[in-house]
Amino acid sequence: MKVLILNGNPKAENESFEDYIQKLVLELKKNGHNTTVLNLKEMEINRCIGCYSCWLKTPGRCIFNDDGPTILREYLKADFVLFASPIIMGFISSLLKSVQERCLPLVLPFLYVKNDRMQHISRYEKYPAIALLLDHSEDYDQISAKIIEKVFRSSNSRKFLFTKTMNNGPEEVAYAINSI
Amino acid sequence: MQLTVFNGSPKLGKSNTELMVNGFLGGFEKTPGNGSRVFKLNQLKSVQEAISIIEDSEDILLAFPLYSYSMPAGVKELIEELEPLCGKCGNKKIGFLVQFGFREAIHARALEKYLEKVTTLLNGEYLGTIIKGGCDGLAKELNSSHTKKVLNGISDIGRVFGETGKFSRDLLDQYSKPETQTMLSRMIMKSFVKLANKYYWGAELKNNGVFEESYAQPYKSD
Repeated sequence: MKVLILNGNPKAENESFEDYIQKLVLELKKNGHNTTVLNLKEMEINRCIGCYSCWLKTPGRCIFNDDGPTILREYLKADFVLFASPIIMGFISSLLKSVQERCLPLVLPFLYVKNDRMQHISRYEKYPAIALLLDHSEDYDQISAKIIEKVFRSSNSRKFLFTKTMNNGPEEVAYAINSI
Repeated sequence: MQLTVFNGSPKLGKSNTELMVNGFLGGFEKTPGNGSRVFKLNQLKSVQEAISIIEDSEDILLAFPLYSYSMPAGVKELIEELEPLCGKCGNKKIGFLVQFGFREAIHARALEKYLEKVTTLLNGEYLGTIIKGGCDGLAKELNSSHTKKVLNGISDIGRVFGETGKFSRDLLDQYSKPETQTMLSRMIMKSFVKLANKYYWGAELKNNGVFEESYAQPYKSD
């Protein structure tokens, strides 16, 4: 399976987070997964400015000529994407949040009504399944984790599978990914 | 009361958030003595400048559009930089305004819980979150009955806040409707979105000369 890890840790000095990701990658490779890690802090990622160019002027394509398109291409190639972030002030890092917003070109501006609410129609036929990996620092609490998960579950173009924390060992997270 | 407002819209020009803030302040400033200062977050020199302004403020409104079901990344960065103020904002009242295109308020409910939690972390008084969907195109259609209704509603919330120092829960609940679509309204909404797709989004694509490329998939691997 092709696995993409979006590492949203903004601080290199958070060594325990980086160590965990490295151990997880080793486990995934050991289990035969084609694994790619994008260290977002090392990439040039502009924040979405809500210009809607990706919907209305250059359909499907963001106006920013940075690393955003690389991330989206890797995203679409993957079978599974793990969004990894420390919890900072009760939520994912602004770095990972930037990437979540830059996924806007992956849907169409067009709407439809799904069950009891409006949603955007998908632009692509296939999207990866996704999951969350959060650290277990002093900022961690179950309420925050539930809120973050709910935000990620809201998007119709993603099949959300699970939330794990770094309290679970890398082997355990790898096992959950193996089970997909 | 002196209110400090941050407009967290990442847009470079005019925005629906700005329109909503102006509507809110129109009501708020009807009470004699009330005044406000508004800061566009992406026009400040640094996040630290915003933090200094927050430190000097007692009544704060943070307004922004819903981006991927939560706050824009720039607003999240501001919240991250507030960490040193955790537990130290006992003198502050903090309210939020969130607007977005989907009609149903439920899209912002997870975020609402988060905003209340952040205020608690800061030890501030949580005023509430004004949630309003169906706001796409407000700034483009200033004279439409829908825009007027949205702006009158937020002006009322601002007026009551100006008079009492609190957000009226009843007004917030009324203003944010519909929470979701009912069986009956789903039928109406299905027709509505077909019209919106054709005459709003479709028309924009045609105006820009890219209608034929509407469904383009540029990031698909070969």
